Amino acid sequence: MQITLDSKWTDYLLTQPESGMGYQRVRIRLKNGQAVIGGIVFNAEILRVPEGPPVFSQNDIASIELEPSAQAGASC
Amino acid sequence: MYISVPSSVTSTLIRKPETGMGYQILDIGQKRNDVSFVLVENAEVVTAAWSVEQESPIIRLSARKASVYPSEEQRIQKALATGDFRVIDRPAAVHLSLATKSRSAGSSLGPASDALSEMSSRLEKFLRFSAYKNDRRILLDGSVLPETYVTTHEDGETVRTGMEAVRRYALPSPMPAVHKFYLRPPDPIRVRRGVVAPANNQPGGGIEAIFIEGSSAGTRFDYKELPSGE
Repeated sequence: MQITLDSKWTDYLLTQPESGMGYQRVRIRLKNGQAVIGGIVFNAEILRVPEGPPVFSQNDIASIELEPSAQAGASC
Repeated sequence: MYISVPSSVTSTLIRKPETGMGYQILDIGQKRNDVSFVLVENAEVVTAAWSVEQESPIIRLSARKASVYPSEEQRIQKALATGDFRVIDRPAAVHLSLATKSRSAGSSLGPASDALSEMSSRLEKFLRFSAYKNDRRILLDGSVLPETYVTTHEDGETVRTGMEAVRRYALPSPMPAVHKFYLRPPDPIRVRRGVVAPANNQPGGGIEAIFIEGSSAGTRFDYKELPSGE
């Protein structure tokens, strides 16, 4: 599943380290409390998560955290 | 550590592949609690060594040593003199550093994220490959954001297509990284350097560097679009 992130997430991700050239490994926390692991954000704007539940949209995102080897996350 | 390599060995080493840019790792015979691997730079000088701390079920190495005991130096010199060594290729070297119990922070074999910071050379050139022409970590004024990954000019110039970049830098995106940005920090900056580990079903093996604090305006000085290579 692929989502183009709002500018607020992009702006946040640009303040954070990359995981590699052009991408960041992330964990998504949804507003309903569920966590989505294994996400990758490309160019700080394109979020790809593995197929399967939960299915969510931009508006369901509570926070985006970089993978544990990177930095602390942010919530909006 | 500065152990000169016999000229005959130098002649042998320069005919063998490098383990990484400008260096070779030699296996001089694995022996527990003894120097077993050495780093040879420019095929002419040994500058670091590792001992084997554990042989099985996985090989575990000591931290990189910048100095050795006289007996260890003798072991190294004997191995070089008798030709009793073999050059470790890059995948094996990466594997060994992944298995290293306490990898030296100065190791050049692991990922850049684990390396010590150092200053780039004056007017040193770097490259960044991206699937996005509007790469967001390179700003309109040509500056580069902190903690951004790049590669060295020497390593990146070997890449001819976007898919080659994907393979060499183990990029997770299925899109070829055809956008090639040329970078040259106006002044020396702090960087970390390393080797791209296999990941994302890609072999890696390229050189990677991190602009720890980014780089100022005017760093980006050129751009080129590569063929996709798909």
